[in-house]
Amino acid sequence: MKGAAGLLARYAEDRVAAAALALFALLALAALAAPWLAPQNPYDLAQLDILDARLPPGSAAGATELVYRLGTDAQGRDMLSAMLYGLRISLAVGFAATAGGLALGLLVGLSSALAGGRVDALIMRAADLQLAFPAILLALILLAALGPGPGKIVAALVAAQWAYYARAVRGVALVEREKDYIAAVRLLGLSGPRILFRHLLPNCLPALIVVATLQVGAAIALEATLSFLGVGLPVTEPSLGLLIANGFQYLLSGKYWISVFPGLLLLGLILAINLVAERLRVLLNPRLQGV
Amino acid sequence: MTALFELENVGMEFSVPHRSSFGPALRLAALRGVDLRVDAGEVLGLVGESGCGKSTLARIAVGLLAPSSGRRLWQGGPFPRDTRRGPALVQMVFQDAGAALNPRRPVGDQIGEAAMVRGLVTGAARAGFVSDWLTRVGLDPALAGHYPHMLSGGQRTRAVIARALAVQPRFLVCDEATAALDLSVQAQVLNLLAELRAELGLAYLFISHDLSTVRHVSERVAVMYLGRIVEQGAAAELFASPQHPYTQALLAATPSLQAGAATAAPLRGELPSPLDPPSGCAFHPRCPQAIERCRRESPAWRECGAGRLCACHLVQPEVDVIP
Repeated sequence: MKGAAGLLARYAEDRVAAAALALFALLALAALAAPWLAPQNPYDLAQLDILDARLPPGSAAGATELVYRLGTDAQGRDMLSAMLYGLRISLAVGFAATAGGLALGLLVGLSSALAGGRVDALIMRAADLQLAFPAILLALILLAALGPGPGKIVAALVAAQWAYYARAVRGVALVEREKDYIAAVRLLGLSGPRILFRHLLPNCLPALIVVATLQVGAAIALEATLSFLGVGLPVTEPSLGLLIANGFQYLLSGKYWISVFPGLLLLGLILAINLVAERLRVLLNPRLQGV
Repeated sequence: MTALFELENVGMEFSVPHRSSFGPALRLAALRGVDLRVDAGEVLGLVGESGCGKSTLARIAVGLLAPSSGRRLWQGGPFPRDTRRGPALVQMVFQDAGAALNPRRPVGDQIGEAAMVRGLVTGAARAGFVSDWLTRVGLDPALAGHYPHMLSGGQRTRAVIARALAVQPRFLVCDEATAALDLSVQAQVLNLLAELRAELGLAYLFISHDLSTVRHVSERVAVMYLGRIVEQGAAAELFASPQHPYTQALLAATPSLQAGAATAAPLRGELPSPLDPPSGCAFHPRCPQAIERCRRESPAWRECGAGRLCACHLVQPEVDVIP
């Protein structure tokens, strides 16, 4: 589509944002290709050698040909491999939580906007209540009750974030609903669901894309925090947050690489996502859009 | 002869939050006691200042708003519910054609969609149907795939007209349909509306603040002031000898190129707030001829000529039949 190419060209006018998008694409590709890129399968305990524990970057493995370019952790795991797999988990959890939150938020927000009156007030007060809780606290409580696991952490993140989407959707839908094109299709006699899905929803999406992009970053950071605190993912499948937590105790004893490299990767990932979101926010703002 | 479309004693009140968020909600009377009649194939012009309730009236006429009081009639009976099948009865051409088109769908899609949902055209014939309508409103059929922002203002208005007429209404409400267009395009769109009317036997309610446009297109004219109709009658007669002081002031305010043409003093002040309408005749605070009675009593309709009605205490019945 011509519009998409035009959008990409305008996006790239901001060099920093273009670099951020490139970095994000690179990281996403690396995460997808982790099984082929990683020198070692960090989940396969048979491949780990406990004698190679806490080796500094660049060390050669004791028993194999492997060179640990970014060092090893306390289990003798190659940090580069662990980080690639960790990135995979972080991204998967972030996107799954965003997709879930977006779906739930869309449903709740659109119903709220269309129902109006008491239903609307009830839903929005529930959202207020949820937003009044720190997201981390809510997720902590939920995970403490549910136990660790990727599915459960996604559920906890959705529960902690749906309200942002619901509020954004409701706000946009209330504005769009009053526009003449909706009045026009009502007058033409189209059915409610048709108006909702073919006219109202597509016009609400651009604003949501921005919220969703920002929330991917927030979800990844939240998951990392939860994992760091030890309630997120199991130790056998470390995400970036858990890797940082694993190296935390060695940080002051000179073995910086166990925490610092996953930390830098997480920082780069979230920074890239936030820069992309910020650029999208500018591009999709109707007031800045050339009509 | 029964009228095609009527509004009977229609009133519309909105409730507006009080300025000091704790006070009681205020009632805004946008329309009060409006009676209108449009015959089949007729063009009724509706003029009035900005904010006098024209757009509210348009939305009630097409059924987008339900009036607080009064009724909408179709051929003398209650207005039928839209069954969403077959031809529609009324459609509307919106003031801002850009806002009335979905910005994310090609215009051809939007023209064909409702006609197909209503069973007026089959899926296979839809593309031809859309090209046909685009041609009829004077647009290139190649524009079917264009998005609204790629069209000019006049093209958008034409697309909105095509979309409204594609569901075969018999009555079209044009709410300031040409107000946003420049003069040459305005003239083209007015001619198009006239052609389509002759071709399809449509009736129009043509709403505008522009007197010359209304004069040009209408057979009958109604003049509105602060939510009420103050005068109505055949266009030629009404413009030739306005009876209500408001109509007189409106016509006098129309710029004239005639040198030395006698002009009445322009109206003073603003349209009063419909939140706090004046007592008696709503026009009395601005009326140059107001008498004591105007302050106390709201004027009833008086006949002032053949088929002409005027709501003013000062108008003598049958005044213009006296030579």
